[in-house]
Amino acid sequence: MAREAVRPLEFEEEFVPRRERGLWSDAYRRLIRNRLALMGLVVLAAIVVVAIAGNYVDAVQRYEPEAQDHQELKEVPSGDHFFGTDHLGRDTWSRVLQGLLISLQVGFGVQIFVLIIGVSVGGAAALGGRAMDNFMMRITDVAYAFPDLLAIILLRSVFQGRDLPLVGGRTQEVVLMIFAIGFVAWVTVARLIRGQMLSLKERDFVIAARAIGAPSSRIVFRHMLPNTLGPVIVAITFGIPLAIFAEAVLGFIGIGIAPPTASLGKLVAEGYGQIQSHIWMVLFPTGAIAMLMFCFTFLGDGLRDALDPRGR
Amino acid sequence: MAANAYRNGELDFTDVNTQELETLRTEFPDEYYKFLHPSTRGLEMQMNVEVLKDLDVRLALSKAIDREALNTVVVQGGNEPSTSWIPEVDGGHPPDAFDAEIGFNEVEAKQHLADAGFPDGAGFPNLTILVGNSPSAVATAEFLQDAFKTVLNIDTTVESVDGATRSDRFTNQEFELFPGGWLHDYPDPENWVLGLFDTGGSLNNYNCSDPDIDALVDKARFNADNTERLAQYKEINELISTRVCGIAPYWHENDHWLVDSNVVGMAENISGNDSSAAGDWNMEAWGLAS
Amino acid sequence: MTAYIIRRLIWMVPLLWAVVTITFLLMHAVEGGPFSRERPLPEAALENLNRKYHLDKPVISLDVWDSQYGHYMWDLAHFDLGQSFYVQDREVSTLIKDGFETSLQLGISAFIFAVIFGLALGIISALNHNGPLDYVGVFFSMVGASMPNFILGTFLIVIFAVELGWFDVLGWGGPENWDFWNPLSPDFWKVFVPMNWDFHKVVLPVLALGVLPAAYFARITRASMLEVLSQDYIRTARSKGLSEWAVILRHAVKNAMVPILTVMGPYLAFLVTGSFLVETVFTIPGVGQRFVESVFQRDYGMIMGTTIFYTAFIAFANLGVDLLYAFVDPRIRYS
Repeated sequence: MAREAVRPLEFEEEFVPRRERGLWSDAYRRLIRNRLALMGLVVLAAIVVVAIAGNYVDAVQRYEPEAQDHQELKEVPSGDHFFGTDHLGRDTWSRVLQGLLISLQVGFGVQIFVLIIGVSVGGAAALGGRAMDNFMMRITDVAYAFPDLLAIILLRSVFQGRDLPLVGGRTQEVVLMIFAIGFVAWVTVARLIRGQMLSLKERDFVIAARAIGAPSSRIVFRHMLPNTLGPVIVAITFGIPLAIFAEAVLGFIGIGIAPPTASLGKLVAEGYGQIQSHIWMVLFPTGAIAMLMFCFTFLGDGLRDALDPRGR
Repeated sequence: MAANAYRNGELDFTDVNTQELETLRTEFPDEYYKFLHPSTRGLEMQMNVEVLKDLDVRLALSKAIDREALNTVVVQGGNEPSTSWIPEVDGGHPPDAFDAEIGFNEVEAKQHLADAGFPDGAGFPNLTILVGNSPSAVATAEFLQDAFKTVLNIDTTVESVDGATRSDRFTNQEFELFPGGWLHDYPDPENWVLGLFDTGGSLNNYNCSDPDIDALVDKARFNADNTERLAQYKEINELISTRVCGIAPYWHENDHWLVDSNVVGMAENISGNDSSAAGDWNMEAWGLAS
Repeated sequence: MTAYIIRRLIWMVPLLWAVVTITFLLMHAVEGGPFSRERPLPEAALENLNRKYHLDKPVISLDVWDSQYGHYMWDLAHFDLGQSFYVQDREVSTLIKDGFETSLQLGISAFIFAVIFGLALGIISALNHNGPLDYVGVFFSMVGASMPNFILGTFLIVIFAVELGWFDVLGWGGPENWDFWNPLSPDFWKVFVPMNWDFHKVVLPVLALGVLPAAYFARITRASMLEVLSQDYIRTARSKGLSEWAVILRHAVKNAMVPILTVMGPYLAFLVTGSFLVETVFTIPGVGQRFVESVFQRDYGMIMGTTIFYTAFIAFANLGVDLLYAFVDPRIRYS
């Protein structure tokens, strides 16, 4: 037999090579396909846009949230006042929008705080050697042992009426609120990151990177952190509605954001006494809280399914 | 919450939240009782604060408060708007006695502020209104904040703290504007003055220090002639109110109760001496009709 | 395993100490004290009170024994939680015990409701995957998980208590004076007798507290069941000819339980210790409400006592859950 050129396999023409997909685009595709999660994402985006517009764009806000009109007390929702007015004649639509923005700020702010502390503590624990690990874990245990809501109330009481340097007014209120809630919330994420990092430390690609002499910081930031992000993102997405709920509780028992700023919890507290006579005063802020928690829950579920490397 | 329990038949009588008065008045026309509690609430002003030392400023603040509206909006008409510090029943003046001098008057309020050197609010410092954290306290503060902004064009900050903090700050005189007041210990005008408005009085946390008041207090304090004494206290009341010495009164508080129709002896015995429940001055008469 | 348990128990001591110290310092960092009044007490009375409760001493100092902290830790070492500052003449431990009886009943009732309802809903949802029952189940669990319990409680009151009159608003309907720590006394067993319960007062608070955990349980059960149902061994069981019920109950549910159990433990702890909102709305005299009240009253003794109690409770509950986990999942072994 003469040495023939090896003919390429016939079906190569029909063989369409699969495009190389990274973890993120893969996850993104899966997320989009999950209709509930997509709906959650879209509604959330809409809420965020409306909340921002409702606080900075006059046409959307329509009335100043603090402006009282004593001729229009506790009005029923109408074309003029979409959500009616409250007991001091303030437009509920604009106050709910203000409250939404505050809730979103608190929710995201707490998670940023949690992320920073969580990564620091979890990372230090995982990468700093046995002693550091033990020390950090003990601190985490103590923080974890505190009954959550009670700790938040105590912290909030400590912070009330104190002044922060540099910031003032409403920003200060929001920041203090973020601290109070964040102090109890960081534990889950810290533990998660530690667990992830610990298992990643032993993975081949990390060992290989170290073998070729890559500096630790590069290993951590370019190789390890991106791989821990999956479950962390999910934890954070679920953590946002918890933070919002905590803020609502604080507002409800009276130690929330300072008046006259509206936070959703405070709006519920104000409408609470009127629940039988003027139910919409409570209905709209409650609905807003429920919508936010709804969206984040759907989104979180979707993210968890999408980022799960086992895939289904 | 208590009202709900009452509606459900679980309670025979209960005091009620001012936030629900409107509903309750129409829902229980025969079972709702309102009675006077000899107490006065007003906006207390820390007279150690530079800008509050000026009488014009205090008058401006007092005249910017529409007491009728405050009463309607914040407590749904449940209290009695007043410009007199000592209630009439305790030897003071009728509630409208000083309306002309310190009552609501937008034009004069603006004028007083301009006279004090802050025309249209220009340059006026941002004062803090310190309140507790109950819904009606916060609503009061928000109303006042809005009133000062609308009428006088000045900005104020509302600080809402819990009860213990508020009391502490009051005792330590760490406040600027403080919705507060007094509830009588016994039915006599001296209870409204001694220790409260004499210079250095133990409860004089707003530092009212007026030589005319002090002089009268010295005379009235141990005056054996009752008629003269009462007249002197009336004069003191006039001074306190018209000079807004530490406080701009805005209402006398009422108590609001729902008493079921099968409870006897309670509603019939309501008097100005009750301290915590309707008719408790005559508690022996309470009972259930069976 | 025993070594593990002993280690966990020993570790609880420094843990509690840390929590106590931090809470103590935080508590004193809050403005105002237990005797702050708008109309202050007479000097002499104030001095006496301060002396009685050691409030005239520094909070913490180098001379540890002459500080408030020192006094407190000394008492604590003798298991003495002290007296309440607000409810005069009552011991903190008595108040906590009284309150906890109620909170425990409420928490456990809500837990049982959440488990039964949540699991059932989750299983039904999973079995009817993508069918109408599934959508109802998912919808309920989403709504239930989005509703803060104090708002749900209020709506329940308005609809079912006031408008319809089916239930009561105030108070709790479980048996009183329940000696929950003493299984030998007859007072312990009376909680299992339905006759001793006033269901008019029980249903709404239990619903208000239990709906959110029920929703979470339902979601996790559904997810877990779906995963288990797609496993090979289920197909094997079916192909062996087992009846559908046997397949579901004996194989699917049992194996689906593991992740569910992980979640349930913390929830029980949460339900018992986190009920103060529902307690406030329904005026139930439980520990949670007392804690919040004691923070506002600056009742230092009560604040400390409740925190210690809750922390210890949660720590023991966590240990219990971890042990249960090991018991249920044979792959887990603690060294």
